[in-house]
Amino acid sequence: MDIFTQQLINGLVLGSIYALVALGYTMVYGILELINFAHGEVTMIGAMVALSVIGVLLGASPDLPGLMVVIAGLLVAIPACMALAFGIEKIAYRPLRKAPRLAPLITAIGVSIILQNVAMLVWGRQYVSFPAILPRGQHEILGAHITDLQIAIVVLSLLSMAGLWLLVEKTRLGRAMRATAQSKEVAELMGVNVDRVISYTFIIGAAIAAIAGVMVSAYYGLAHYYMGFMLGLKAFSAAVLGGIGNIAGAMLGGLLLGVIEALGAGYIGDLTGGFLGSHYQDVFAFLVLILVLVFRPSGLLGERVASRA
Amino acid sequence: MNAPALLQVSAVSKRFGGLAALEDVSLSVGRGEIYGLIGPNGAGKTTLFNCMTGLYDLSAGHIHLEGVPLHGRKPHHIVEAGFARTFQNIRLFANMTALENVMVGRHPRTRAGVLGAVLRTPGARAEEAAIHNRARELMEYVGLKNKGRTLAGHLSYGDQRRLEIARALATEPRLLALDEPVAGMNPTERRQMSDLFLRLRAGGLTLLLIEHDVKLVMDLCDRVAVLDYGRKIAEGEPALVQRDPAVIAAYLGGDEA
Repeated sequence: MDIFTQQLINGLVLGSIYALVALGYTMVYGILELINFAHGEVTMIGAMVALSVIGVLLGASPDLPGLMVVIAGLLVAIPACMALAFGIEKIAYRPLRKAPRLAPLITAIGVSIILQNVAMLVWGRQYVSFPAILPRGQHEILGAHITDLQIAIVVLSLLSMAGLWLLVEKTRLGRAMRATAQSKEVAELMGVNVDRVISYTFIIGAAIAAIAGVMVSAYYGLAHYYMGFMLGLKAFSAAVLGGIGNIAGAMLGGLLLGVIEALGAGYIGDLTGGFLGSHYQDVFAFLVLILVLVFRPSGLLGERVASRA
Repeated sequence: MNAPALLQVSAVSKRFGGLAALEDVSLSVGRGEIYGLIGPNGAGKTTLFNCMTGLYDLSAGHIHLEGVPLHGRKPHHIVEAGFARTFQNIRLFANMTALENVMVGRHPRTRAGVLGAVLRTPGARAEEAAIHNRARELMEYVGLKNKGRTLAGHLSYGDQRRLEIARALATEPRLLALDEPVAGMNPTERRQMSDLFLRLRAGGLTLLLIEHDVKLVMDLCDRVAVLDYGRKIAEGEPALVQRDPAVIAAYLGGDEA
């Protein structure tokens, strides 16, 4: 088996999930210049809600086709996350719209902690396992294995990104979002209801996060009330890598970070003579974050953040 | 002019801390008028625009457009009511194309929501096409044909001013407020702009104009109001106002002399 190809595939799969979560960070930052640290937790809630629905459905009739059950879970998780993000923005961030920037940032961390603890109370401290109900076909390409699930994750991610891209570039709402990102004041003077655009930004980001949450729990086969923390940090790193505020950058940053992490995990043992193992893979995301912040704080595709940081 | 005024500004004051930027300013603009707002720098002209468009809360007073109160309303509601503006220091969406800038201006007159947009329903597609067409018409109207794909920030200065007007027109205003629309333009461009203003008026639009170019104000405006230190010191036909001793004193610094 070719380790390089295999890790490349694994990295792209993981990276497409990072990219989806990173989109939520970058869209909100683009409009409010707020790093919504609660976004990782929204992803976690998406996974948890989907797993609950899946559990209920399987409990009611275990013979339902697995794919349909998971899709049903997803279809409940998406609106649940949208409602959650709508509420978070309205209750926690909107009252602080005119406050110094540190205030909403700290609030975001607070919201994140609250959501973790609520999830712990509702779903418990233990890992919730993702039932093995999805098709488990495996294919071989270029000497590496790729599963049906991995293919589905990549395809669904690409579809979500394409949909978002169309929405932002080609629709009335997307234009309003871009206008608001450039100047809330002028957008408002052209008749854009800025509060509503901001709500939509959170809601759309959360819908994508719900998809990512379900995919990541299906991929690892489990979910946990704390899973949003690390996932959120990595997605945030991906958004910074691509240039925070830049939608294409979040997609690129996510994919790149996934590949860097997977290749790093694959080779770190060889490179350090076995001193460090693949469980050090988390190091790479933050190494990348530090390097980007030191050498190119505006990110790969970003151009405007340096003056504001 | 006995018909009820299109725009009624009643006893508006705006204070920033201890500084009175506007003090008890009243004026009324009739339908189809070109109304000039002049005065020395810092007299409060732009502040008045910002009060009228909802960027600033009034400290006192009322503003009505066709009898509908504008004071205390959000900027996007004021645009919906039919009040559009341009900016003294051009404020386009520089990273969007010229055409997209105008298309944003269609926002208050269109409805498509997220669902329609995502599902590409026939209704949403038709509306998007209509937005596109209207924006192109307006680009042509202000003399920016074939510049739709250029990024707004890359347009020449004069074209940026024109684009701001097209974007404001896209909101279908009854009253268009222009903040120094010919500042920095050469005589040819100025003439083109005043032709544009006359065409707009002929089309039924009312114009409110902040301008320092005396000739333009004299030629175009039906009436002018003069602001000085936040107070209205004169109002009337341009030729009369020009001879008003208080106005002459304000411009020549009579107070300090």
